[in-house]
Amino acid sequence: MKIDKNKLVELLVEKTNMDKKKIEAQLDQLTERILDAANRGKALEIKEFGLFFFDQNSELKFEPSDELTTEISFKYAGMKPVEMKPERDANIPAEIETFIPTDDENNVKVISKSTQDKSTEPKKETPNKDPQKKSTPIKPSAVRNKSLPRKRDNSLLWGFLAFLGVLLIGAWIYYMQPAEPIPVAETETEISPEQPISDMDTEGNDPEIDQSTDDLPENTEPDPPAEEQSEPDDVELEMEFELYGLTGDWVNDVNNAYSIVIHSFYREQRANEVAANYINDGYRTMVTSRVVNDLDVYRVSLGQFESIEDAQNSAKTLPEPFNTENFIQRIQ
Amino acid sequence: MDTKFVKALKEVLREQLVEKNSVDIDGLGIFEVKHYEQHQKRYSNGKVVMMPPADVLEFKSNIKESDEN
Repeated sequence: MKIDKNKLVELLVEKTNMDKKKIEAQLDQLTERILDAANRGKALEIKEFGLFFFDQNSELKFEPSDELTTEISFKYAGMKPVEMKPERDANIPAEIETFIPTDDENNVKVISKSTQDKSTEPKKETPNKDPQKKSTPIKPSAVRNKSLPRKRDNSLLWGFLAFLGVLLIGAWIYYMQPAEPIPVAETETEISPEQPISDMDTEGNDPEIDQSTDDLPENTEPDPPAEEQSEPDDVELEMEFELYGLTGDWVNDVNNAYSIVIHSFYREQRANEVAANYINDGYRTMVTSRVVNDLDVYRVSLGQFESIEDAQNSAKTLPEPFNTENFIQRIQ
Repeated sequence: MDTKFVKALKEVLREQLVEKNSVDIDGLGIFEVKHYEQHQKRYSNGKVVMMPPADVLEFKSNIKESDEN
């Protein structure tokens, strides 16, 4: 909507209860003062609003104050550029947002954990006055500092993968040893979630089971056995598959991932309330805190993604207006 | 100038601009908020970054210094 001078005068009259002519006179006087100061080569500043001046091309310019800039772009305040292809070792750019979840909390507690992040996270993020135009180069000291938690997290990941490998080998040996006994073979066919339904039907010995699988919809049948599966290798495989995604539980062990930020709040309680709604809707949800202009800002983000592209693609699937009004932040 | 007027002007402009409304002041210029989408940017050192989105206040004016002199 466009506010012209008449509408502006109306709003000012409403706000000040001053006479309309007086408001118009004040407005004209302000314009004259701005132009007069600018013509004398000076800038006129309206405190907490901005600065009027003539630039080198003799054009009238306005530079908004920091407060006004932050207020207008509050939703994105404090966001820094994210490197598209971050290196996995030490060369982590200073611009990348940091966010270090702890490993020992479940999905529900993740929300309250953000307050711990706030207290442990150094107040190093300050808003860019103009994030579109400005960026800072990599600072080696910052790189060194930020590489420490990353290395620790990588070791956990490698340990997890090694553990997974051992389990797979153990399971393979377990299956390969008892080739003769028939009962073992039967249980194997019943519980294997990787076999298609048709294989289960043909190999199953009990005709009643075959009929029941035929009667049920295909979508519902294969899932429950997979969830009830108690074989350790299959469980581990399923966990690995769900490390990333938009829905499900937040996985604390996922590092160097990206998430979609859709809300920013001044009040942590409000952020947690909103996040709880998204968790109820099945989204992986996290509340993170940032310090912007000495004020705490709490962001609600959805999903964990391996790459920015994955996050962007998933963001497009969100309901309006979040499919367009969002930004991607990196989590570590 | 009346401080009450200046204070009210700041408040009204802030309220309208935060609502993404443009404000046209005759004889001065137009204030409007422009939204910049998240986009890629390549630095001179070759590094490619994803710039965050932003709402930026822009001011457009036809007034030139020579016009007023």
